[in-house]
Amino acid sequence: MAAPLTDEGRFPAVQKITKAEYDHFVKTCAQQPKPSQNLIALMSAFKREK
Amino acid sequence: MLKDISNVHIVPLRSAEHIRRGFCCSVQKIQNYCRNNIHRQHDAYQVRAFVACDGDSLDVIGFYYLCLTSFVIGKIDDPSDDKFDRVKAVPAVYLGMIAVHDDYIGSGVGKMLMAHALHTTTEIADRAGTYALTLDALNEKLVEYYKKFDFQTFKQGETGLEMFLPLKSIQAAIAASELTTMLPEKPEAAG
Repeated sequence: MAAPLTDEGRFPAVQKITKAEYDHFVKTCAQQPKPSQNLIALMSAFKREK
Repeated sequence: MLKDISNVHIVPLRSAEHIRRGFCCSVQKIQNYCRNNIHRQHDAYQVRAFVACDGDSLDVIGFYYLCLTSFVIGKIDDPSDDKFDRVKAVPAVYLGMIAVHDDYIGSGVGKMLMAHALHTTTEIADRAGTYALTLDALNEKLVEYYKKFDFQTFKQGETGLEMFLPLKSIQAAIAASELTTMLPEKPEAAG
């Protein structure tokens, strides 16, 4: 469930999700993605100096 | 007329120096948070806040903050949470708020802040581990905006506003952006 927006901010230390959401999240994060051109362009436009 | 952001830079919040009282945002709660509360949580290391400033000015023209979160299977106050093997927490970074001063809307400061947040997420991952950057979008319009940058919704999120961007997507995008820079320029046509 989305953390409510308040004047005090929001910082959900633990978020409860369903097993289906959990499985989707973990599986997606484990995949080797092909980033979109939008995301590549964003990171190209604002590189961080090393 | 759009603001020139060539001198805009992003730095960690310095509570005693950065001027937040002039920060204007159409979302009142975000404006109030920036003006009144962000410094306490930042200084207590409850969150880490980063602010955008233009040139030598200490006025805050944009900000975002990150904190740590984790995802576990279950419902709030589920009595079975304490059973063995029930809880498998996975770590994530949470983008609590990201906002730009009204005067700088459309100037690119928001994208600059987002790129900075993605870089910071990879740094956190390198030092402490994380699966993804997560956020709760304010509305459906912003869901569509974040999707342009590969954020995904949780399939069965109760509101449909919960989103995440896998760490590997961020790393792949950074690697691709660096590769783009390293590619040799096309040789000019002979003749």
